[in-house]
Amino acid sequence: MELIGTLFPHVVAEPDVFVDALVQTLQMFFTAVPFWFVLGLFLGMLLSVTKPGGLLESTPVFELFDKLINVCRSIPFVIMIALLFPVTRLIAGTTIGVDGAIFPLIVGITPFFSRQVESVVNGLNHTLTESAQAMGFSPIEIIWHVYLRESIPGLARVTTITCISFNAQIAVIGAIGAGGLGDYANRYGFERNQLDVTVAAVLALLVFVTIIQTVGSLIGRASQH
Amino acid sequence: MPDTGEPIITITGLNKTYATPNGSHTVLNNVNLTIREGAIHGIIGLSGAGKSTLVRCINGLEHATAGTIRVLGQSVRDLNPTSLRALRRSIGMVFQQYNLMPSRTVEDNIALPLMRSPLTTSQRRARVAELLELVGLSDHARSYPSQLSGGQQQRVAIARALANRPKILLLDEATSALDPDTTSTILDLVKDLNERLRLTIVVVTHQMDVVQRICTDVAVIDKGTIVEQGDAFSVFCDPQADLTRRFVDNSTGLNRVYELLRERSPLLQTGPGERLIHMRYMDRTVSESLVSTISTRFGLSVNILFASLSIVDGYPLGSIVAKYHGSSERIDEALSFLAGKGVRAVPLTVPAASTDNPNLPADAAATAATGEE
Repeated sequence: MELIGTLFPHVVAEPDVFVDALVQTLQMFFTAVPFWFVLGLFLGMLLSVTKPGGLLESTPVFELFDKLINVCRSIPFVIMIALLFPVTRLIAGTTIGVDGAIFPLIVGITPFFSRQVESVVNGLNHTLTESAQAMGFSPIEIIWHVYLRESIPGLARVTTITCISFNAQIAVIGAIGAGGLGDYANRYGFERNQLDVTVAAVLALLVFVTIIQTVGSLIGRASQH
Repeated sequence: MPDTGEPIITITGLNKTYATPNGSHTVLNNVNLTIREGAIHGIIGLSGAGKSTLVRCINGLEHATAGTIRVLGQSVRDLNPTSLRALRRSIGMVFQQYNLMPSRTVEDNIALPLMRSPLTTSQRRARVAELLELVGLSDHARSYPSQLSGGQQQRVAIARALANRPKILLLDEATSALDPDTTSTILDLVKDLNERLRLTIVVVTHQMDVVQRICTDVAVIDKGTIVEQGDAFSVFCDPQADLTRRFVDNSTGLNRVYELLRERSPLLQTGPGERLIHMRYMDRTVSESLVSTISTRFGLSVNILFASLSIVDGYPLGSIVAKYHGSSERIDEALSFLAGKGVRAVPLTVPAASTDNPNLPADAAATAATGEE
């Protein structure tokens, strides 16, 4: 304990600030993940099945979402947050704090995750579609029982990657008003020149990312045969 | 001779064309084909001949451009998506690459087509166990496809295709990725299923052996057109189309004889009073010792240079090249005697310039030959 006091004097001096920051980061993470996971899964699947030659080929739908995702992905996240301010206020009632962060976080990460899902589903062997069709499966049954089911190992992998990128976005939005470890490292570590605060934030994130990576790898390995 | 069942698949005037940037490309051209109930019907052709497209038209995986396809009394092209899916459940299909679901165990793969069936969970389990037993994989119920050999995976695929007790089984190059021994055991299984379940089986292949081993009927397809069809024995003992002859000669090894002739091998040189004769059993019942009969009866010396025997649909199909020595009249008499005994005996002639190479698989050799024309 004394050692920690020596190594991280400013963190130990105000432990509540550190704990609050950690809690805020985790709140942003766990609140937003289910949203972008479901949304990204849906959009990625939609892109994959409506693409030319896909199961439910539809050029207008594919082109629309393909372009939309490209546009969203070309806007840097910091600018995206600012751009979304009016909509965020409308939805969340605020643009700051954890509440104001969830919507832009979801909008920021969903296009990235959708692309990842799309590539996983596209990577499935096309012949599986054919054999499912030969068994008399409907498109919905194929999506559910073949595409989603057979994508699990790939989805575990890309979800892990996206979660880790997502942490970076949480830090960015934290630093511009949402709180969390990004804000903590920025205000205390950077602006007050308290290097131990920055190191503590980094260590906390490192632990968190390691946990995500471990869980992701475990799921991936358990589902891969 | 196979008993003749009612037509179960009738294809009339089938055309399939694809639109390509360079105009339309015809894959199937006026295909007419009737498959009898209980038959094992081979569709043999080279890569790209359209045989896979043809078999996919049967269960509607491919949409024909013109023509009618009647399967189990229904017109495939007129079915709405729901009825088409219902029809597909009464047709099993097995693919070259097995196409098992990698994340499911063997038993889950086999149970997959039963998803819509009215069976209860325990009935389903019993059905899967029965199917595993049928294909001899009861010990591997909990294995994953990646833990099985190619032959075992193909057995799982066959069990899966049979889950809904289909009337028809389509095999699309089902043995093409397997080694000869495994191919053999899979073919035995297929033959057995045909007999035990009175299953109609359509076998698409480029392997002559497959057709010889199990097929009762055969259609030879070349560049989207059926060039020859009939019962397997008749087609192979007296092939009419060039492609069929190439398949047969490749499989019997006769093309090697042609090659020696072209090389003017001393083995096959004929002196005065000698003639090279190619004899083929034309009859399913040839059992007499014809060679010794003709040599004593017509006073000829018959020197056998090459002989091969294939079993087609359970009947022997022999091919013999022999050098006859004797007077020209006696040889002619012997040949007509043989014809009367159901043996087609003709002077050996080399087909026009062809680069058939016996070391290549039938496919490659015939493709090379086509390239020459």
